[in-house]
Amino acid sequence: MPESIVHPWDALREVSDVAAQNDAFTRFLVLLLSAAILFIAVKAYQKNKSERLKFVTLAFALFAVKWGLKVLDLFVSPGNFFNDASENVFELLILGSLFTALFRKE
Amino acid sequence: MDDAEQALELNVRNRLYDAVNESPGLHFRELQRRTGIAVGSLQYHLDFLERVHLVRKVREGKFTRYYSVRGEQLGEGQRVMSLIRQDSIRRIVLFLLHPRPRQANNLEISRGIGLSPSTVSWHLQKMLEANLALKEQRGREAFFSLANPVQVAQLLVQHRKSFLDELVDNFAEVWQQI
Repeated sequence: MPESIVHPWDALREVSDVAAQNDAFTRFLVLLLSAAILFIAVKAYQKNKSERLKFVTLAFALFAVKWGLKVLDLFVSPGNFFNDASENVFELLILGSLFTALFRKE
Repeated sequence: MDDAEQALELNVRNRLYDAVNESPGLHFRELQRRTGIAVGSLQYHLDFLERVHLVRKVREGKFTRYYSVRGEQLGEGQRVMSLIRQDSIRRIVLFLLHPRPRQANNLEISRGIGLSPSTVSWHLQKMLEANLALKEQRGREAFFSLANPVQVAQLLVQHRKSFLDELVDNFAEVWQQI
């Protein structure tokens, strides 16, 4: 009988299985939350007309678009339509916007 | 019934007042063309509306333009109200208003409401642009006060902060304080 190998990350296996089972639900939830935050960000920008808030709003808009694509990905071709490389580009742009917002003077 | 309401009871005057309200700044001839009222009658009714403070006339070169007084007050009030809805500006307004209307410099306001001097300066600039605040230069220091404390106090009483207002203010504040 082959000896089973125990990996240190096996303890997390159950948690990641549950996450994988609920992936579609999680994606929808993140999309809803990001759309809600984007709405608040747009309102805050319209109210304050601040340069900093403009870039924060842009970051949240990119975030919402990214999650919109991730939800779409579920129906089109999971993992191929919106792959890791595309996601990385979005992450880069989001962080770039937030970074610009931090250094932006009013 | 006040003078203004009484003045508008007459159909022709009501029509004239609506025309001024719809297109503020029209000159006499244009008003005459739009309303079709005879020149003499138009002059009489415009003078009447001016006497009861419903219409204001402004001479610009060879033209005399007519504006609705209530429309101007409403527009001004809405501009001030939109600023008062912003949490930081409301705090500055309350500082300048309470316990009595007063003048204060940027540093005093900043200490009084717990915002950085640069943030206070930015908001004061917006208040000055909207004629909500007045600036008085004394030597090297600038002192700020409210342009119309009575109107602002009335608008503050009308202001009710909604849940969305609260969310939006918190969001803006978090990002502006970083």
